[in-house]
Amino acid sequence: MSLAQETWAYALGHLDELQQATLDHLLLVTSALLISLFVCIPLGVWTSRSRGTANFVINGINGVRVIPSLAILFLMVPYMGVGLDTAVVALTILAMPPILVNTDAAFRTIDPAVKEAAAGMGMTPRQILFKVEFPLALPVILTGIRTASTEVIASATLAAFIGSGGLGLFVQRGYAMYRPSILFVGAIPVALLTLAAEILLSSLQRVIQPPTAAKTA
Amino acid sequence: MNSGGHLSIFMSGIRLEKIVKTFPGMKRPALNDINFTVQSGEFIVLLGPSGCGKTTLLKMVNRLYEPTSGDILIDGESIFNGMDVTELRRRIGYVIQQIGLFPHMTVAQNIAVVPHLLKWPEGKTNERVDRLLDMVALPPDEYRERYPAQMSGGQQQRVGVARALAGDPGVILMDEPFGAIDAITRTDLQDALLRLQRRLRKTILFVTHDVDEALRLADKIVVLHEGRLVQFDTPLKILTEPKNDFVTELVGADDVVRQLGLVRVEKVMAPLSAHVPTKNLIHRDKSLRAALSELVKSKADYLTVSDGSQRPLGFITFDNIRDAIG
Repeated sequence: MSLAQETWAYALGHLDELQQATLDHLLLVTSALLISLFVCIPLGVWTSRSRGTANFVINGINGVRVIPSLAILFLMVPYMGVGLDTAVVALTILAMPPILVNTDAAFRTIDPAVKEAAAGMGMTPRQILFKVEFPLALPVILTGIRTASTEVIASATLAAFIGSGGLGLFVQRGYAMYRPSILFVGAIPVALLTLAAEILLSSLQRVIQPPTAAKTA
Repeated sequence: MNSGGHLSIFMSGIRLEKIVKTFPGMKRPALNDINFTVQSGEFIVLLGPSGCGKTTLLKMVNRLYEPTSGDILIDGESIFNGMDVTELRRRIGYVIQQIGLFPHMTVAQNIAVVPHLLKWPEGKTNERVDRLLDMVALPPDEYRERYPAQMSGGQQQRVGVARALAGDPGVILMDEPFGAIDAITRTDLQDALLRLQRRLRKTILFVTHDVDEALRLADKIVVLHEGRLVQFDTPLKILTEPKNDFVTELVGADDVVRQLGLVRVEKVMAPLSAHVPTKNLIHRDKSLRAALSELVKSKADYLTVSDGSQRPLGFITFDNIRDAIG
């Protein structure tokens, strides 16, 4: 039996488990991403408005980036034990830097003339934020979300090693049993999820990007 | 606070009283004891070299800057006492050099910003958008749904002007609006603005460092130098009776031929009298130089001034021109 056939057979034989693992994986990824968004978008808006805060917060968060994802996962265990919560926290830490850095950059680079026009027309600071700045910053923020989701979907595979389930289960099992076919049952869906997220987010980005080139409608 | 589309009736004249502005850390005040009064419907140009304080002064009227001391009254009411800043700004049109259209909004959405802030009904807003696009010579069918990036700089600033007019404000502030636009388009935009102003009679404060532009557009010019108001007068008076050497040099008051090219016929024409038959029409916006050339060419003793239609507005003779400039 070839490797592909073996992988296919194993997957068919463990459909329920595969389905559960995929759902767990998605749960891990979406929780980590959502928490990062809730924390980092407001934080990025704040840092974009003050140089001092920006240097402090962004350098701090970027520092976290140099720690390998596997290390972050294992570093959390002594403090939080094993399980889903630990993995979510670790993955959130991984997702934060690209979202924060891009939010900060997006707001920082909005044309000051546009903001002045908005203020001069009588928009309140709140209206300027939500009707002008956010829509203009969104494409760049989305780039950060893309980077973060690729990273988190891949790293969530490692979460199985600290007992939080997900598609990493199969990778772990395949590794332990020296059976590449089982490993692929985990690895292929992870690759597909990454691709799907990439396609989804980049097409979303295309939809919300205001036209920049001089093309006639 | 009044509401709806009749703001312009209520809001009109502007009075600046003893305006002083000192920026922190600066020795010399950016503006020092500025006083002048603008009548409703006047086109006022703030003229001076860069750093003279003209933009700072303009931005005080919509409170993007606050004066260190002094007061600004619009229609007799101080803008600093109990008036909400955003409310004030919605009643004042604002056009800036960098144009500042919202890149993520279509032309129609850009123009509709202030009507939306003022909570106009959708139908009224749409009508307004179309009318304004017509006024600035951008056919609505073609331009409504365009994005700013899909237009030239000149077209974008036309939208900028339309956007400033959208809420039907009584006062319009323009901060070097045509400064970044090429010379030919700039002349087009100046002509368009003059035509608009003739119809709308807004109170306009217009900042520029371009003397030709100031002389061309203004009913009255405020000349600023190093934070002080040097002269507040009509273009003609500024040319013929400059207050000091600075003004003389700024406007080139010694160069009569240049002046002829800068003063519009309508500024010196004599009123129409019943016994003068219409002949040799000249448009009111033409320069005195064009009039002089026409007088010489046609060997006529006067020209009839018109507004582009056949309707005469006045007439102009050699003597009028000589008296005005000489």
